[in-house]
Amino acid sequence: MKPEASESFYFSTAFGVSSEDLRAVLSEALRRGGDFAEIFIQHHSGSFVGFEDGAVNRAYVQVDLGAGVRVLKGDQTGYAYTEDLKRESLLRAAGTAASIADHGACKVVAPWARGVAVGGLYPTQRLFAQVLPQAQIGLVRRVGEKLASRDRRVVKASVSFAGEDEVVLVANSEGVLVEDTRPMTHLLAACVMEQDGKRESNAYAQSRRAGMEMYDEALLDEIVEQAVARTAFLFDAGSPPAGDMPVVLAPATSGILLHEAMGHGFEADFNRKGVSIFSSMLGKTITSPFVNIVDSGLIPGARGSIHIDDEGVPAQRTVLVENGKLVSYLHDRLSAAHYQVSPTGNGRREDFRCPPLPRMRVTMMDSGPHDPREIIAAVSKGIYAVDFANGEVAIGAGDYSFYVKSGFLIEDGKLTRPIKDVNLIGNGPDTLSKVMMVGNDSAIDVGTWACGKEGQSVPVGLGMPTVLVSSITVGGVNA
Amino acid sequence: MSDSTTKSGLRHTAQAAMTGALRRGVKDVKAVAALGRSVSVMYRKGRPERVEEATQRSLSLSLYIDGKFTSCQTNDLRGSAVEAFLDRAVAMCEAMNPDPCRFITDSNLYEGRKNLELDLWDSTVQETSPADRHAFAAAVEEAAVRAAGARLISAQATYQDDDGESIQLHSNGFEGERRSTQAWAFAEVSLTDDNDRRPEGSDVAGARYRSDLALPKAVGEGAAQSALEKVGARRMETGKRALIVEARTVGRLLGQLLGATSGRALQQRQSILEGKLGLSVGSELLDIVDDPFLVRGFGSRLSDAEGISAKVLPVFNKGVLASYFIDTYYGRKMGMAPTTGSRSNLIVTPGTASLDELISHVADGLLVRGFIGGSSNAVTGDFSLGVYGTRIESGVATYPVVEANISGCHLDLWQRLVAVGSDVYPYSSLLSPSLVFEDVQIAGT
Repeated sequence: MKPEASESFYFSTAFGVSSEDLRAVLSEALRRGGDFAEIFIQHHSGSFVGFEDGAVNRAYVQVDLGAGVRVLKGDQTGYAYTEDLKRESLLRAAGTAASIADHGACKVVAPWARGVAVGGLYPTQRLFAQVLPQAQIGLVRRVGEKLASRDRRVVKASVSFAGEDEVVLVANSEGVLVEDTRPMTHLLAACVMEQDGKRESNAYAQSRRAGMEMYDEALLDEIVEQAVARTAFLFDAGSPPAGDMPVVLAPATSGILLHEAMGHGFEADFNRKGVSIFSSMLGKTITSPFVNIVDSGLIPGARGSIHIDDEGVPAQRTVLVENGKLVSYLHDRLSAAHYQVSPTGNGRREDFRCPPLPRMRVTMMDSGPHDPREIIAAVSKGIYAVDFANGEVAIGAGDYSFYVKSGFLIEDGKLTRPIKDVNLIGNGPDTLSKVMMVGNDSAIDVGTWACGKEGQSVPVGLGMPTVLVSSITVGGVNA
Repeated sequence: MSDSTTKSGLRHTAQAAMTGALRRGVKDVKAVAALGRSVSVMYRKGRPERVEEATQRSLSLSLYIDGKFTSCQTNDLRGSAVEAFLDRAVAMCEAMNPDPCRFITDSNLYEGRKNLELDLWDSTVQETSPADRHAFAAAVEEAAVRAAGARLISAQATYQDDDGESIQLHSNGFEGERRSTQAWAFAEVSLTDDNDRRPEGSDVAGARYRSDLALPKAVGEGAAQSALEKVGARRMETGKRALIVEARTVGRLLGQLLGATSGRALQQRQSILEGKLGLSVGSELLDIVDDPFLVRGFGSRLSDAEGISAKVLPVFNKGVLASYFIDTYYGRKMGMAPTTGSRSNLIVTPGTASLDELISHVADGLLVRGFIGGSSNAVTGDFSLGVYGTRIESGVATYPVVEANISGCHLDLWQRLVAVGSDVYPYSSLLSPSLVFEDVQIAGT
């Protein structure tokens, strides 16, 4: 991050947007009596390379540039954006956003203040735009060839790589002027395998805020090994029985339970409007005393980490559930003002086309007191959920679901038959009340998780220790 | 570069980029320049909570050099930026592995493009005043609040309209232009229940023409009704039962089957419909055609993204798989003639029974009003999906159901399609009525 109170910042040198231009835009935005104005400028550049049928035979190069201007009047929002950064275009967007207000004194833009120096979460050695195509193509080809030759049962191997650079600037009428350079990369290996006339497919990916230096040979081998192993696993797997039963969630990837069942319900915009099932639970005990849930933007290299959020608020670690009690929601500026608390650095947006909303960063449950072996041993008949694909939640009812790609049956305290392709469905507060044991092995997942809300997608992370929930509905068969 | 905010500017932007790519040694180019404007107004508590307005533009290129391929997109249309963008994209393309199947659309496929007026652009959308937009959103919200009654926690309503224009040029002779509008109204309602639950409902209506848009009252009341239908929800027992999938939710289920009709899925051995062309994969009621020529249709077009002239494509004919969606690249790989790589308007042949009549014929079942999560295994067809809806007992809708899950295999499910309704959902490029399946595994308590 480069918090600057000077003329020298990325968008001034690369696009000629001066500090004075920003002040003029903010002044125009406040002209009709708005309480607060903000400009968010973004320059995104990405390359995507794909391997299929033995060759690196597709690529996609993308550039996205623009600025969004937001004006707040109480809890009302005016928003407009432009895809060119000429002063007159920015002023026009400001004039449109200003229309949300129609009365009140015209506020003055505060002098630029030095930003808070949070940094170092994703030091970039080199922007992806400066990496030669041959280096990206070579990487993808190497992984593709390893994948295709890893196991004789592999009949189709495909690989996709993404390397993205993003620079954002936030300036607002309270004097904030900050920039952040955010890298993101992702490598996915997918295969189709055949065995004894049966066919299965699966994939494995890792993603981080990092540059090309992330990809050493060991990591490439791990990605290939995981893709093949996770696909081969499915040949012997079947469906579990349908109905309610105990579920043990494996560490790391099971964080999707937190994300869906609780995380969205903790986003303060839903609570501000009273539409979340957690709206009346702040300060109350909602789960076992050994459960602690946090949302952090401070995990080095994690997909959901951010030096500043998209409102310019410095990154932080927000405790949501402490010893079983709900102690905070996830706030952006609007909701923080409503609850008269400080923003928690969760104001995020997909891009400059969207106003920010309270969004998760890396949501995880801390380690608890139990030995993971002890947790499995405590279940006489249930399932152990290992690998997950996707999830969804109904915020108001609290109902959630998440899809288990693979796992095991638990019978008499032991992992037995492999299972696959089953959806779990439950209710957030109900599930929280049924958390019986929490393992001492919390881990963060490194997969490519993206969260959708109001049509906006943002990269997030999640983490979890081994957890026993006494009952969740398992969408199996053969009742 | 020229002014990309006018029609002539769009053509010039596409043409100049194509020329720039060809000058750099690219053999063939597809170029699309697009421009759009979008305005939305959201109301809550009787006043505007969010007002948004934007114009967007983009330049997209597909580059071909002797089997090497790269696609690219930018919205930074400053002259020097486009030059640097072309340098980067062409360098990427030159570095790719050659693929003998990767070249521009055969110009023969451009022939036979119909000269029809699809009526996709409504000039009055452009003329809609801010006051009109506010009045519409306010009226939707007001109707939602009134219909929700004493249980109301929150209602919000949005009016949005879009006006978009694009030009598509291929270096081997294809030219296509398109202009279209849409107007949409959305409403969301949240209610109290007799426990901690806060059921939500929503409704949406859209049209190419502003004058075709549903009345605000209908959208607001629809959202309230869908929330009220969830009050007092409880779980149902596990078992195999009849399933009615309500028209507006069919896409989630049908989309998983349709995914298996794509050329890529077939060539990559990830399709349960491989080798099934001409064979029965569903009951005789599974009858679907892809029709690109619907006047004012959401998916209507005269040519697809590759320039292939649009044609009516039967997809399922009385349960028999009639066509795949095959683009030129995967068609060449499989030695099959391309049809089109993407769907236009998918029309599921409706029946004659209303939803109420469908319900009255179900002795023991579930009306699925929505899906929540879940997925499908592309190579086996196994699916497991979270659902909510209404319990049906002895032909009567009895109580709202939550936390249920349905599972099975698509190769089996569509053979169990035993009835289709007459209630076609109109606000989508998928035009489907409600569908009834027998003996579907439902997990509950």
